[in-house]
Amino acid sequence: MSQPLAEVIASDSRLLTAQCYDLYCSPQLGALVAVGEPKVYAVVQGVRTEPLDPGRPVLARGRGSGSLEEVYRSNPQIERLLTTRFDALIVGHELDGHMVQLLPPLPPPIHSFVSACEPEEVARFTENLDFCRFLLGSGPPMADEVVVACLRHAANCRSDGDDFIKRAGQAIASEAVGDSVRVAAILRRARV
Amino acid sequence: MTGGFFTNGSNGEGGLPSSLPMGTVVGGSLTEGVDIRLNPTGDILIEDVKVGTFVTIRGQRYRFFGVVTDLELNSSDARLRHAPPDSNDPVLLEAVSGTMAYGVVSVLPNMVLPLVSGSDERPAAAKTVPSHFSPAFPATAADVAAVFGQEDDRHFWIGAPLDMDTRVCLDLDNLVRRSFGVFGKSGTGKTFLTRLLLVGILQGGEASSLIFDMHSEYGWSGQDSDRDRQVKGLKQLFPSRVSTFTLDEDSSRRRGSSPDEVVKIGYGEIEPEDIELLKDNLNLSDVAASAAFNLKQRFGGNWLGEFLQRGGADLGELADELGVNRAALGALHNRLSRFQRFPFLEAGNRHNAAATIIEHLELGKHVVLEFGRYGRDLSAYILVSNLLSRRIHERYVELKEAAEGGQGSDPRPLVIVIEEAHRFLSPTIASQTTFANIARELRKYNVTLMVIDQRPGSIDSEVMSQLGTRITCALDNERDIDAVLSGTSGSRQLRGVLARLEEKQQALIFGHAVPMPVVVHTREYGTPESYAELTARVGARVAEVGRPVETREERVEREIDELFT
Repeated sequence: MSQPLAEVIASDSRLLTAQCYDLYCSPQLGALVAVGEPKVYAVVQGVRTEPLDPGRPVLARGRGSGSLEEVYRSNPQIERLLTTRFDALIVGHELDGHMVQLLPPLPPPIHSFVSACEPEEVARFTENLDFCRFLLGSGPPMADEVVVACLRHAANCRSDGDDFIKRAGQAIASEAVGDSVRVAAILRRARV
Repeated sequence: MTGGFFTNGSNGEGGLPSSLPMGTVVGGSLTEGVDIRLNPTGDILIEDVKVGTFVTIRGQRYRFFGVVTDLELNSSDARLRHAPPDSNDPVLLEAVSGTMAYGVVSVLPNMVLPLVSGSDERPAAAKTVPSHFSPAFPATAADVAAVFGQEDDRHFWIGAPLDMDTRVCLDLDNLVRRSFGVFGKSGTGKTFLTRLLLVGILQGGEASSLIFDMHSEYGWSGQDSDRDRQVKGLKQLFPSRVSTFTLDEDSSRRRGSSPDEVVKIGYGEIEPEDIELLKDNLNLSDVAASAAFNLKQRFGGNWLGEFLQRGGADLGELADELGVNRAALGALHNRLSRFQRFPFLEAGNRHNAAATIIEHLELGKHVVLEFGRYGRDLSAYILVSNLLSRRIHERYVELKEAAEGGQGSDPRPLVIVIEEAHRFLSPTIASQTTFANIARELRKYNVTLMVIDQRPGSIDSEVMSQLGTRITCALDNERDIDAVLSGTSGSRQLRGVLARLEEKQQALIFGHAVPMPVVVHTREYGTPESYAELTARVGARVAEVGRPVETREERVEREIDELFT
């Protein structure tokens, strides 16, 4: 299992927010993360970097600097004042040693460790495509972008990427039967 | 079928794999049929399903046996019509096909079968529909056999259902119990179908048949114009069971047929009603045709012979004597003079062709009356077939009434086969023909009709309504299709099936002889194998009635012997 890279700082039955240990070291949009023990699985649906203290807004500091790296090098305090957080949509959990694509009975406790799933774990989890329903139902404005990102991420983790996209396409079409335009847009972008 | 729970095996070469559910019931009604949404798995595509194929639906309490009556492409999103997925995008096409865009098969559930195979319950007419989401399967050979019966003395194998290598059988007893019809436009295989049906009637042994063989194609041999070959007629297949009669001995001999009897008809046998029937063919006015009745009144039985001997001024005098219009009587004389060209018509009344035919029929023989070259003259065909049928019908009525009075046994059921039936049974003349009477009386007097026609729309609707079983090849005239389907439940659905029959060797059968409407690919006729199959099965019932009948030669020989001893 990979090293934890974040910690849960807020959670409910559907959604959790985690704070990364290192600035900008968040899992990617659409990535599958495992939280706590027994594991709760969630798909990253939004990443943001913001001031640790909401009362201290970030100020522009780069005037005259040649590059972004130079800005950070010249202002080492920045890394202390900022933090990277991400929201993840819960899509399953571990039950009696098996992955199930159901919401857990209780949300993961605060300070639970969050780690990115290894490709092998992603491949196992995405054998079942019921989780697409959670993602499609997560609501605008990002739902479809998260679906696209998640499918691309999963396809990269699997040896049968093309076939996976086909199966996922059918699962999504079954979920969104009345909206062919949406299905077409998701599938088109999942394969770019 | 064997015991145990029903399992779907393969339904034969070329058919749908019957182990796979094809879809699920999603709606419908008993009258309109149920809608089956094809499964999204794509194992069975809509292109695999054809109108007229059989389907079983496994409900909660019964298995339903039905026929596909329509196919529809449907979608859950109307926008797919306006913005269809890119046809070059197989992933998107695959995702949308079967999920958002899917096929719906309309199935008319006709029969219910017991849920458990091997049960004593017989298939029965469906009076309910399967529950929502019941799975549907392509029907198996066992299902078809359960519904249409196994081939035996009573069930005649007529053909195979579409895309199945199994046998659809006709219930011969039910077939001959009421009049029935074979329809189809020219060149669709009516003649071959009729040959098969005649073999079936012969095998069934329940009835005799009398075939008015207009084109001389049922008795000794016929022509298969598609394959450019000769096919055997009934006499070649069942020499001891079939008697061939001919009106045209020369033609029969030329075709290699040696007829059992040559039919001669005396003028005295022709009735004014026969002339009335030929009114259109002879282009006679009503007045001229009805003058025949006056002649009968004046001259009695041999009215035609007497009338034809008259000529010139005699006719005028006769017209005055009878009180009929001179011109009308002249026209009648002129037209009836044509009869003198028919060598099978002879002066006097010494022949009794009908009695000879009846003699053969009562001995269980099947009689084919070949018209030879006279088959091309519709007047001759109508005259002879109506005249003989009238005589035979009268005789059957006598026999039947005698049997009812306790004198003698019931006459053997008879099927009279007529071609170009609309010429006899059109609404204007149907009331005057023996055939319309036979059709209306049903089996009261043990005589029924087999009507062969390509224009069923021109047959009197009352007669059509009396046909128990209708067997129809492809038809394309709306009026004919309407006529064939009139009075049939589910006719709207059958219309779609009928309209899509192939031009050859396919027929839609519905009515008493089959438990439900069925499209069949008719069995082969004309190959040595087909002859062997057709002649192999001669039922026990046939053996009982297979007594020999004295042929013409034998009779002449006997009479000569009797004369000199």
